[in-house]
Amino acid sequence: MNTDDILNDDFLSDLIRKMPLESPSDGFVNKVMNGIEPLPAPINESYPSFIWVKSSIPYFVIGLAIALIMFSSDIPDFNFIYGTEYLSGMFIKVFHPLVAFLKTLLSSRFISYTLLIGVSAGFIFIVDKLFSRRFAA
Amino acid sequence: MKYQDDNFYIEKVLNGDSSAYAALVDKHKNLVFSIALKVLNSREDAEEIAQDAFIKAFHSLKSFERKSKFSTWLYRIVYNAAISHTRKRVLETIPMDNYVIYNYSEESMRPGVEEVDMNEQQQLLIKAMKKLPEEDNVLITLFYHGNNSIEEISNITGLSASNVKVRLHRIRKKLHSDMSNMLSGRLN
Repeated sequence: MNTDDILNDDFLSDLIRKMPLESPSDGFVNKVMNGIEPLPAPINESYPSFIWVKSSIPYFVIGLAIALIMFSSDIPDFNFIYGTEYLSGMFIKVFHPLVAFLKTLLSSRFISYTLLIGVSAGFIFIVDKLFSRRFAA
Repeated sequence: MKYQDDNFYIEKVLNGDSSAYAALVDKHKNLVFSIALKVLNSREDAEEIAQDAFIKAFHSLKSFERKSKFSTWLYRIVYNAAISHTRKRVLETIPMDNYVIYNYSEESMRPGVEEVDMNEQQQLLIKAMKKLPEEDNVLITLFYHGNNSIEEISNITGLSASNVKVRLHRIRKKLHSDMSNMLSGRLN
């Protein structure tokens, strides 16, 4: 018989086990429950920066971009889309009047100062909004 | 009341159902209270310490790693809290009479005590247990009422496993001899 058996195997252990345990007062459980503040519900932790890896959209976009680059290149049999020379020529044609208009507009001192003040104020406003939202959270 | 496994309630509490903790409190309240009472010898203090221990355990539930049983972890909390509470007092430990411990065998003490009826045996036992130091009473409660293993008691009290085993043996001998002495004193 080993030591643990001796501790368990006799009338003294039976006698002790038959003795009822002391109990706290009747409202004990309620007192404890009143004393605890509920734990916050578990937050489903996700990592937004990695979620896109699971989505097929970025792979589709990357594939589309590669196809566009390839088809707009000068590689024989792949040049289904007009090349860079055509596109830059077309852009210049479309945007030339716009750029000319902006040049005329900015040559006016009144307009350029108004734009400068307006853009600066807008920038400060956006920065303020961003910071106040971040620190309020 | 039939209870589920502790982990069932722990999962519920951790998932936001705080009311499930009531079942854990109800399940363990008697042993937790008894441990505190054995150390403190005051029902009011024991109830306060037991209550605080349950509240502390609730708020630490997230950090409970489940390497041990919930009950072992809980008993350690209440035991440490009770011991801290008594630290202000000078713990008076009654040294055991070595003569009693080493020169009596349990077998020699048994017949006399076993002859009296159960109620009387229990009365003798209660009296004998009152003579024990607080820590020894806790060991008895944990081992015989809580059904904790030697290793678990070692974990709760911070004593080494071999020390727990030796102390339990000594306590038993001491209880036997005290009960025999009380009985013979009554008979004479």
